Amino acid sequence: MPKLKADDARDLARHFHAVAVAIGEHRFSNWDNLSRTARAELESMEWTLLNDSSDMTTRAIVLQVEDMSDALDGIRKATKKLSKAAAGIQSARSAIRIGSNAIALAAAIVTGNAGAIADAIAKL
Amino acid sequence: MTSSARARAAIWMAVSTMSIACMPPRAVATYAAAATRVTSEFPAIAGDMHASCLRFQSFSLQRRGDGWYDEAMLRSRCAATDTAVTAIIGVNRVLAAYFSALARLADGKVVSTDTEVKLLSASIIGRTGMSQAQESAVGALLQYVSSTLLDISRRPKLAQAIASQNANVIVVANGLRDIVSRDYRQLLNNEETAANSFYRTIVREGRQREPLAAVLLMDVRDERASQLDARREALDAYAKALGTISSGHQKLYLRRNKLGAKEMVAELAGHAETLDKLAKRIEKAF
Repeated sequence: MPKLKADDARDLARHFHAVAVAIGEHRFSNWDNLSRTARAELESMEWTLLNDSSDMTTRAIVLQVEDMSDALDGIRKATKKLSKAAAGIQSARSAIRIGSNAIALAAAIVTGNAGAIADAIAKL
Repeated sequence: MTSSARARAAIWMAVSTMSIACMPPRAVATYAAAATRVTSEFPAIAGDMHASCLRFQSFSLQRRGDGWYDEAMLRSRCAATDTAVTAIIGVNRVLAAYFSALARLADGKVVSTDTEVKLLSASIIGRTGMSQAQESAVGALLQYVSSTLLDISRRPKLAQAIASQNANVIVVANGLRDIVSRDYRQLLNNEETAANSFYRTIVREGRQREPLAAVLLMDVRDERASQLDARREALDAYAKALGTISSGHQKLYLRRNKLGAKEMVAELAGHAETLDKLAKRIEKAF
């Protein structure tokens, strides 16, 4: 049997809901013509269908989450890499390295020493 | 090549590199931070999906069997919804963590606030015997060069993450959008139908005997209906936010190698503004 898809579950949920609404409309429109027992029976069907609709909606959510599992794994891994890179840039060691190289280059540019500029650029 | 020619070539190369990276990816940080803020509103929305199930079951149980219910009965009937909600909060958290990490890496404030660099520059400049004018020129250049160097080192990482995760971010953002705009809406529709059926049946059964009670019940019904409208508005806002997150990331992906381009900055700022407005709308509803 083919597996139910999230959209199939959603269609069923919508369908159950629509039938429940239609039964309710019928019950209220014909209230005085229906026996007490018939009204109770119709109302019970409404609640059953609404419960089925809610259950099917929950199922759709679960199926949709299952569909996303591969994408979620990828995002989790990328997040770890991004966090590591951000932490690396923020760490004092990296800042000092960047800062030292930048200072050497800035000082060389300001003093106009061509050889020092070339050396500083080579170290960047 | 002579020493001065070598220096000229090196300076030209440095200036070219700096001009490519002269615009910091701050717009990426602004967009990603706004995406993080709006996704932080999600637990309230997801929590209401479970609450909607509880409200629905309270109507259902009152009209079936002996009409009695307690919290344990409601919770047991909504256990599956509770589990599903926990799962989607987890999904949303993954998306929020990604945007938060993207924002942190793209944030231009990292180097300018780094005390270590400032202390180091002061000590090195102090030892070189430069004039005051030269020192302040070095200071200004230092700030520019440091942030440019950081940009050069973080741009490929940002571009790589954006390129590798674009499809995944779109799958997850669209999946969450479907859950919010279709499933949450369906739960609210079921709740609304349940409330209408409940109140209408009771009013119909008892209006002749107790007309005043029927009027009061209709007031309660109206109040619940307006609460449902507010929740629908919030779900629309969140669905729109997820769409904005998705299209914003797609734009980042398409322009990942020109993260600083002027139009890109303007577009991302627009996305960030939209996301912040939507976050406020959601906050109001819960």
